[in-house]
Amino acid sequence: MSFRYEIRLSGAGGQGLILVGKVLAEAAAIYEGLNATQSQSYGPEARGGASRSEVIISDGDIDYPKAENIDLMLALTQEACDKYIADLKPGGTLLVDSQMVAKIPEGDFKVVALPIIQSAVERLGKFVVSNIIALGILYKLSGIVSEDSVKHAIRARVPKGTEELNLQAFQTGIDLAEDWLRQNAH
Amino acid sequence: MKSAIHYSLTDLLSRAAELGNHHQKYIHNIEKNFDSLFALIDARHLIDQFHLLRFSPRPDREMKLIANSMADRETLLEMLGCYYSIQFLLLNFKALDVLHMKLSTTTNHHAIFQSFLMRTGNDFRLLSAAYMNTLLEIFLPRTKRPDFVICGVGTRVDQDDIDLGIVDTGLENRAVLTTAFGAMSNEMLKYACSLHYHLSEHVGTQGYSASIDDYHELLDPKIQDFVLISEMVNAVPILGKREIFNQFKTEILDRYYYSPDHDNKYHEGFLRGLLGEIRDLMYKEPPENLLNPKRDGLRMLKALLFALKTWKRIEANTSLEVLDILLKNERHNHESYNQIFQALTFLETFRFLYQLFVVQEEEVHLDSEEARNNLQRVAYAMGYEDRNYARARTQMLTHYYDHHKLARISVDHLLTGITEHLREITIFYPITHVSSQASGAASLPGNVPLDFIQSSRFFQGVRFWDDILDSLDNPNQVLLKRFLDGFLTLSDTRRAVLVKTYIKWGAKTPFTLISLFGIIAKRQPKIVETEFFQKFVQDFIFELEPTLETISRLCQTLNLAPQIMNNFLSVLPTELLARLIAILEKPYWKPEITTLRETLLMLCRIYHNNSYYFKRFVQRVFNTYAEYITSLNNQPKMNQLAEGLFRNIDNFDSLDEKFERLGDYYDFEFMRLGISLLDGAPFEKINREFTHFSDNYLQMLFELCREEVAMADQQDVPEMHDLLAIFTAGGHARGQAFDDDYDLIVLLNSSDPLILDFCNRIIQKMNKRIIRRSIIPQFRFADRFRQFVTTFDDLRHLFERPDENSFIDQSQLLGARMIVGSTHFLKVFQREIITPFIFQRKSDFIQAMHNEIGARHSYSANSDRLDIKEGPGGLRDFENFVFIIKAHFEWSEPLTDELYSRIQQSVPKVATQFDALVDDYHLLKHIRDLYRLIVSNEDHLEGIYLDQLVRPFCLAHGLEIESGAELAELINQIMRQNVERIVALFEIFGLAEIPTLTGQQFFPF
Repeated sequence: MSFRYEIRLSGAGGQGLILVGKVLAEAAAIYEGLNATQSQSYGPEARGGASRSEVIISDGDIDYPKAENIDLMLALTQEACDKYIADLKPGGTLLVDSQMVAKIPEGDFKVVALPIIQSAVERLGKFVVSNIIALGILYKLSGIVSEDSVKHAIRARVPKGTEELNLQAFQTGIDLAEDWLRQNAH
Repeated sequence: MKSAIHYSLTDLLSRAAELGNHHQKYIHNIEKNFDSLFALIDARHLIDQFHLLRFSPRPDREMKLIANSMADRETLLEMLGCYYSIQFLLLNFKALDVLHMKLSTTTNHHAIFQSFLMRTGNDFRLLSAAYMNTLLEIFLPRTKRPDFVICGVGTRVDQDDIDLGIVDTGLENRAVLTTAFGAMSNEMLKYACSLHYHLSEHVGTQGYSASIDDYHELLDPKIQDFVLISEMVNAVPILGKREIFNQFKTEILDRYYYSPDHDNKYHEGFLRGLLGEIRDLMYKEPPENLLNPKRDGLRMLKALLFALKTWKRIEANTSLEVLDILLKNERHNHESYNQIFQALTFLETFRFLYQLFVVQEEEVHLDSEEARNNLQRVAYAMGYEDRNYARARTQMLTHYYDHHKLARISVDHLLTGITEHLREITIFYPITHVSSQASGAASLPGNVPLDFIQSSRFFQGVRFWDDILDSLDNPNQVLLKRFLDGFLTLSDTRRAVLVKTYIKWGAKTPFTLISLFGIIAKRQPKIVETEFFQKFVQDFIFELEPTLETISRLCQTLNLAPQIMNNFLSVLPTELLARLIAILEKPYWKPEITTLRETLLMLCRIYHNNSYYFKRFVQRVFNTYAEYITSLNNQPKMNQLAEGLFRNIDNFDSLDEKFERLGDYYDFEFMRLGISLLDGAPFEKINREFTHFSDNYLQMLFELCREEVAMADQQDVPEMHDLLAIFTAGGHARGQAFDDDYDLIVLLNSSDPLILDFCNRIIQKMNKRIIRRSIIPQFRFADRFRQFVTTFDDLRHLFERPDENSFIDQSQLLGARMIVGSTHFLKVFQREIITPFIFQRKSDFIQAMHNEIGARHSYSANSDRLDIKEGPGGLRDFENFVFIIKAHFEWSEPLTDELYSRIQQSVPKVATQFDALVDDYHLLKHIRDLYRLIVSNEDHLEGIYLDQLVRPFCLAHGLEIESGAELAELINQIMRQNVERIVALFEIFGLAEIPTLTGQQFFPF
């Protein structure tokens, strides 16, 4: 039986969530030979408040294009977290930016709260790579695609001259996730 | 052996490597599969049927040839992907080469950009449609294919994704379509670009497609979001059954077009959505280090063109095609359309080339060397060359901002017509056209607010209600009164429900509700005091969630309507301001409104933290100069604005205007320096600047008033060379800021009744103007002589027969500083008044001052509050002490740093003690100024408020004080030391001892 893994990336316009969606989808479809779809919200909500991008990865046909049974959800703002949490499936994982999402919704899911934006600014001096840090964490938490595939997809999606910075950001995300996994190993 | 095609292909790939990294996907596909593809074509003897060195005019035919040559699906898909990748690169290089050639030979770059965008868009659609068609043939052969139509709904030239809308005939066939489109999506993601089925995300059930019935179900009851409608209105059938599209157009799309004599509520809803977006975007300032062509112009321009397209029923698809028709048909707006054309073609081309050469993202970062290098490549592609005066990218960025401005100007001009059209077709016509006549009011619904909120449900989510607000703001107040009556006549319960509904509605569009509150406050100020209104506002503020979106919306409101926001904040009670501050202080990262947020936060804090006395100035300034609010955090700019305001006064023709602007200048400077002081600016600097502007104000006020009186008395303007002078006395003479009164002494060295009358009328007018600034002018001697102007004869008369209070008048004269008058006057004044009546009687004056100090101490000892001015060791002690020294040495200059230096130099043995005394005097003055700005304009300090002074006081002095109690202790200490120092200094100077300085209760808190 084929697997189907749904990832929802939510936050606000300008946080680079669509890029993360594209990288994940291309890592799966181009470099892993899996099937993938990537969609993004548009409309007034994407032009101001909460916005989202979704990736569905499967080893079979994706004949069900909407993500409604989310395995892993990223929320980079409180508003996006509140708005899009409903579709997170029981036992799923909610990854939030610990600074931006203060009120964690209650539910039957695992919560991973990490200082994503703060790490981008403090460790790498660039707010702009916070999305790639989030990608590193997502990669580690989901285990759905390989590290090499994601790195290839990152290189193929970021501007020339910024590849190393983005790969550093990706590694920062992996480190954050590994620390969290170690601390929550029980 | 490699063929010529292989060598050309190598060139193609090396050239592709210079494009953005996302082209790696195509390079990877080609490198992996080209040999197999070439071998396949070669084996079938089809080489002459293919275009592998230049972009194919018939990619559909060539893909079909490939499809017909392969049996294995997996290999076929790889071959097709490879072919697509080759054609995609060829397409873009063709576009770039033609662009480069044309830009180097033609000067009209906008026309070239237009042709580039249209040609590239058409080529891309040709290629992508061919690919999709071929894939569909594989995944859904025609024999099994149900009826459907695929529409392109996005911008044709966009290559980062393809936006599609698929209309089917219902659920019975959807599963088949979904499977096919799912497979097609996956292939497109791997070899081309991702497909987005935007419409299906909103319409219908699971699947990539939706039926016309699904659209009805979603769109009939409500307008939904205007972006969805924009996509639909833009739809062009690419593949499938044309009849379905025609039905879709007739049943769904056409109703968003204006139709005379028909129900236009769908058209209205679409327009309101578009206008809301345009208005929001028009006032957005791009952040310094971040461009976004969509945000900076393209969305606004396209929204405007959608509005015009549906209003004028223009049968064209792309924005450029719509614009082309408008340019030809509407000559009266030709200039604006031409500006739109320039902005649209420039920004679209910039965006396209940035996405081609750099990254498929909307945001363009400018703050790194890599980013600058990447922009240089875009600039070269846009035809810029490095010049001695600027590099190519600098020229391009300069033009970017020019076109951003051009977009705003043109859209602003055309918006008026669209808004007017909206007013004519709206379902709220009775509201927007209510007149002051009874018949007009009669056409209004029974309960206006209830009816409006019910009717507006159809428009849920739209943010443009300016036409309704304009009607509510009509000076005739017919609608506003009916609107308010609609609330007030309901029962408490029903009113509460209605208010709650408005609040829910307003939380999504704070601009509208805050504007409504502003209109009510302006037109019906009595309502503001009612429990109904206050509860309304309070519930609204507490309904606002502390989220990013709320912060954005509030910032946007400040940006759109700074005056409205200022007036709204100025009437909010402290607890509501605290709530807004708490929302705005939430962690926030969005660069495009970082500055706005800081400004709004600062404005909230000013209204929250400071005294009513100070806030009045802030409210007045920003009510008049709301556009300056955005400079609130920029002190150098505020300083420049103040200078400009002052210098601009002379440019007004009428005296009334000059008076108004002069008053504005005073308010502005008062506010600016108050903010600086609260921000921790050095106290001495603020006092110096305050004195400077305050003198400017009084000097110009005198000139204007003299001109006004002179104009009224054209026949009898007396000549009065060196006869009149105006002195400031009291605090202002000593360079003290933020006083709520002016001590003025107006002296005339003449008793000519004509001159006296003339001068009195000037000062009378000055008095009237000064009071309007919330400052009370105190004219010394005016009470005594029953006129504003005091003559030398009056003073002689007074001092020749001194009474027990004459020393106070003497001290006023001794401390006065001339702001209007000549040095000749000053010499005469010194010779005829100061010397004979003060210096020659100095022992009497000094004794009287001693007694005064003692009497004040005795009085203060019985007070239960700290008086920083009159208390022992307070400001007055120091000032009286210096008066005594001045009289002792017969010096007449005012109490300034120059005088203090003179004292120290003249009597070196007092220098250290006196220096410490002066420093402490400044500290006390600083505390007093802060208390005035933050708490109230009182000299009696309340201990409970001192906490609020700690931060700015410590910032300015580099002190580490933790609390108001510590500050109180510091004040205590200073005042005790002052008393001791003054006693000691009196002894050193050999002056009489002050008998009442010991054993005082200095600070009762």
